[in-house]
Amino acid sequence: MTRYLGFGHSHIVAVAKGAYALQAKEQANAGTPAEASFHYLYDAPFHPAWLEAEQRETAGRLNGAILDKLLSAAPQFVVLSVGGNEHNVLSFSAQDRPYDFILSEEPDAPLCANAEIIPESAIRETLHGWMKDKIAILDALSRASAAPCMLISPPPPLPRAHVLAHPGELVRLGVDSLQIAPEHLRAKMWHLQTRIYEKICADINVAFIPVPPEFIDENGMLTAEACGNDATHANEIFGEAVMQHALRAAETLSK
Amino acid sequence: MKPSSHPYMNLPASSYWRVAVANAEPGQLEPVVNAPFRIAPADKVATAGSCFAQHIGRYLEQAGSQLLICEPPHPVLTSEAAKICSYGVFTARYGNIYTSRQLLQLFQRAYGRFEPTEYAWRSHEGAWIDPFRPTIQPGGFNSEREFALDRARHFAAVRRAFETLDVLVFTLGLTEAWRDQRDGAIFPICPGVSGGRFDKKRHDFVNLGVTEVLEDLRDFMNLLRDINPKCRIILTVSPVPLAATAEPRHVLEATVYSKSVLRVAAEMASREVANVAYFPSYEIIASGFGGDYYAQDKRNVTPEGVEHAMRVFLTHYTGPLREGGLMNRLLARAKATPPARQPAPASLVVMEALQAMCDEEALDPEFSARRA
Repeated sequence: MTRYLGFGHSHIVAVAKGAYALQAKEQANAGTPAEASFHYLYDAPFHPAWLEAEQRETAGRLNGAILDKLLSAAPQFVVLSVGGNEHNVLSFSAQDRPYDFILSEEPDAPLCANAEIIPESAIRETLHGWMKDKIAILDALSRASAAPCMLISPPPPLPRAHVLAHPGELVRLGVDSLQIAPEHLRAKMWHLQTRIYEKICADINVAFIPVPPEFIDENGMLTAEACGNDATHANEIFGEAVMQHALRAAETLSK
Repeated sequence: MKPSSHPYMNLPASSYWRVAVANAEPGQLEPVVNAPFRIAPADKVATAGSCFAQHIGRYLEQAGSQLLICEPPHPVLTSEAAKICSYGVFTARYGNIYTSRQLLQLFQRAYGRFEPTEYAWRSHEGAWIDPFRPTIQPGGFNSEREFALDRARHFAAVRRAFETLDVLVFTLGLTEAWRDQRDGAIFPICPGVSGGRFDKKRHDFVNLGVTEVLEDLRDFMNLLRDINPKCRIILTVSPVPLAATAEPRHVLEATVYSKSVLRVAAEMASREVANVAYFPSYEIIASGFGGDYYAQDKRNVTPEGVEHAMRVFLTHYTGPLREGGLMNRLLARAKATPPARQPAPASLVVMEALQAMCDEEALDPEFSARRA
């Protein structure tokens, strides 16, 4: 039997539901279902996941409850979905001073008219700054785990039409009065975030599970079938697909 | 019998070494007698020069002067990212301008009067590097298109700076430089150090002399005054020694030569051109008479040294600090303009909404039921 643990922030919900759906299917087919348990890093015992050092000279540390869970469960591998909405923080809503940037992978792609073109380097540094805390958690989890770890890529941005149909909290905070930024800008920001995650994962020996291409539409948005019930999250279909990839990847993982 | 009268009688205290230097309290050396002009609160002050010039902008801003920033970071960037990418360090994102020739050529390039043959460098990773500001941002530019767009924006900012500044503070840093033999383009850093490839057939070493530095300054000032006749200029010499010399001599000897050339050229420019002043930051730090202001590496200036130089600068160019002028101005400014309640940036509003949505996502009944 495969036994694994999951830790993460909000995107872990779709992943967990996908994993549970896969377990149910295995069971229905009289197979041996994997034994998985998922944990939300904002739940009381695990939050804050990363404890900043009280003194500058010493390093921070991972929350003890997470360490205990890693030890007691003795998983064969660990599935992570840490952070992932930072791209939305920067590019979800259009700015008073419109901006755009050139993505390395698409140097000739059209740019927003009348937008200020910011170097990708500056955007990357900004995005990295927003991701810093989450990267610290990812690194700490990877170091603390005796089992190999993998990071599930956060889903791409959700299409404008879906966001408008599921604005959720954005309404309460008046974000609906802001224009939603152009999809191509949101897609580029997510690509850049993905590249940062890939690099971090490579540096700290965490396997990166990318979004299956069939879930990315021609505008770089999450396909409609995989959208969740709000403006930023994916659903169980997405979770099931990425978990299938993750389980295949787990067969070749080593610490 | 009365002593006969002579020119050294009855001079101001600043003229006598024993009084002005030997007896100056630690940190109180103040080698400025008469600043030829003052920076008024409404004056827009531009800064450029070697790394020491970065302090000048920072202090001027803290003192309430209007630091002219013509190439500001976009609000979506964090302040850390903006700093890493050299936004707001100087008036425009030109990076360190070490030599007089670099300053002159910056003006000429911004106005399309000089197009260096060396257009861009490519890094090993394929990034595009601006030879004239190779360390402006980590990793260079991601494409020729990004490089060209950013350079055009930068040149527009440089033109805006030169056309609108009231006062330019320029810190001369070096006389040694590397040059493209084909057209005389001067690089801030030797090709091959922070990008590009050194080619001894194309790149040669120059060590500017007094005449060359003075001519560069004259040419630059003439160009600047053509478009901005009322501008005033404060020249300083960076006290930071050379990190390395390409001359076949000791780096200390090379440093003293280089700084001496700059000091003489700055003096001559300030004597012969109206509304050009010299400020002795070099003397305050490098003389050692104001205090021991070099860090352990004997190159970088300690915060105390920077503070001393800038205190003298602000006293003589922006108002009498010792009479509480600076503090009074800061208080008056704070009183006149109560802090406006700034709307939260769009990114913060979105972040708040995202946090709420993320918490709601975690309330999913199936996930909640099985995560205990």
